[in-house]
Amino acid sequence: MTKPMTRRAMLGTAAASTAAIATLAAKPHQAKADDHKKKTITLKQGATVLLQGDSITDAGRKKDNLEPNNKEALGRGYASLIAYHLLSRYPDKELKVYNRGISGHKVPDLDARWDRDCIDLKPDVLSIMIGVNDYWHTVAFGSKYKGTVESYKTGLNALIARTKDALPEVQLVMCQPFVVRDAERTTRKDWFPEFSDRQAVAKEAAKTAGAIWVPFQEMFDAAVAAGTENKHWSGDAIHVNNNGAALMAMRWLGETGLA
Amino acid sequence: MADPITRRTLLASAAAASTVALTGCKATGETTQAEASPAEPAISLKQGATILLQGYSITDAGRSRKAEATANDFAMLGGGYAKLIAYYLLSKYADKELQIYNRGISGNRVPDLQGRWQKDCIDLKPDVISILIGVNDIWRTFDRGSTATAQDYADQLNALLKTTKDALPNAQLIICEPFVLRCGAVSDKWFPEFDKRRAVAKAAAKSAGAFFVPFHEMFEAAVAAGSPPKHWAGDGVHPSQHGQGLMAARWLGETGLA
Repeated sequence: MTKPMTRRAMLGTAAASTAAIATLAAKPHQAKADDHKKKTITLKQGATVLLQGDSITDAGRKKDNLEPNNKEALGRGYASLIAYHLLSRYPDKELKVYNRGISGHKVPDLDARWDRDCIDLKPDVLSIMIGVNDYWHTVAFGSKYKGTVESYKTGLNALIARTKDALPEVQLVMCQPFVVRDAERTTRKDWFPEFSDRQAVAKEAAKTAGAIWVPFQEMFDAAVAAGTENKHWSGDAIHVNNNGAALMAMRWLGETGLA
Repeated sequence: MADPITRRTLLASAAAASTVALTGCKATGETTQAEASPAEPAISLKQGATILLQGYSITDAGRSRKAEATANDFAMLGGGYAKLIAYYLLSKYADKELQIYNRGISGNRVPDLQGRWQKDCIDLKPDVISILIGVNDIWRTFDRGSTATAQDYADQLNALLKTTKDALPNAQLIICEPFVLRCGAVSDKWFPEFDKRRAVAKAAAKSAGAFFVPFHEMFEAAVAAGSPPKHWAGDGVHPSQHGQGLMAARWLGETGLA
């Protein structure tokens, strides 16, 4: 990659015909057609931002606290950092930021609670990171889950379609599910290529939906390649520590244009 | 503040007269970014660019002195925002072959930076220099009898920036606002004197055409949003990992490098 604009321009092209239209129309000075226009999230006054996912999003949040912008409700992970960045950077926007990630969840689990934990909140910005358990639970914890790459694809696309039907104006952010591998890529080697097939599904779904894509796997691979131990970011390669959560939050903010 | 574009446009106006590098993107008029939105100046990273982070303990964050000559070294980068910024940049711009150094030293005040500036800044020929300094400059007046005033801080900081610009006319500068959280070692007696020092840093950034990263404002806003000060810095001065993460994110946002 050369510059961030190049990466974003690619995404922007895919997205231009869908979600971006509303954004462009609302900002005449930005309406000029431009192949290099980077797609970014727009935060209107009072916008609701929802972060959805599994344990990495959850990060120990207090499940019985349903308030927006509440420290306990935001957990201790990347969602909390994103929230406080947005709340401190745009204090006049009166944003409402929610974390509704739940540890262990897979696409079917999101689907089962999507009305209550997404649609009913009417988010203007929705970030989804899901897919680790969709694979992990097929090979661990008694392998009781029988999901496949195909069922992940079908389920994720249906979830997104359902979301866009109910919330046509929603701006989507799709986060790449990841494992934090060592430089030799021996960490959870047996996950691949089954897991990377699912990552490809998530990326394709993001493209089709005109979502902003946050490449966490590539980010952690590059951070390790730059000379860090993977354990610096995550002890078990799946659940990130504070360092990993900070790197995620920064990249999320960078890719969405909200940094 | 309205939105980041407004903030950056203001900065651009201040910077336009002095620092071509900051506004290069806008000034050429041919870039697509200039067409797409109002001026959004950003630090530009050329191939092989050297980035230097300077400051006191918060920048230092336990970095290894032994490894300090080795760019991008994990131990050299320390455990704070400098490291997070470094690995963000190294992972996002993997092909740029960036050279990142942390040369913060715990306890430092502006005169300490001036004393080691040749070795720890000029000689590295940085393309991008980020400076966070000022908390010890005021703190020592409370606990060690220093008599340095806000005016001294202003004179010293402006002199340091002049030294820098004279030696490295093309360097892109970033001044970070000194900050404290109102807890731990930070009592009411720090104010309003601390606000004077913050204003000095901001004015110095403006006259130097530097980017300004409003850390104090950021933490005040994060606390106003409902988080306890101790979440960000237990002793009011040294940020937690959460605080370092928030700093890194804001630094990247204000510099346009996120």
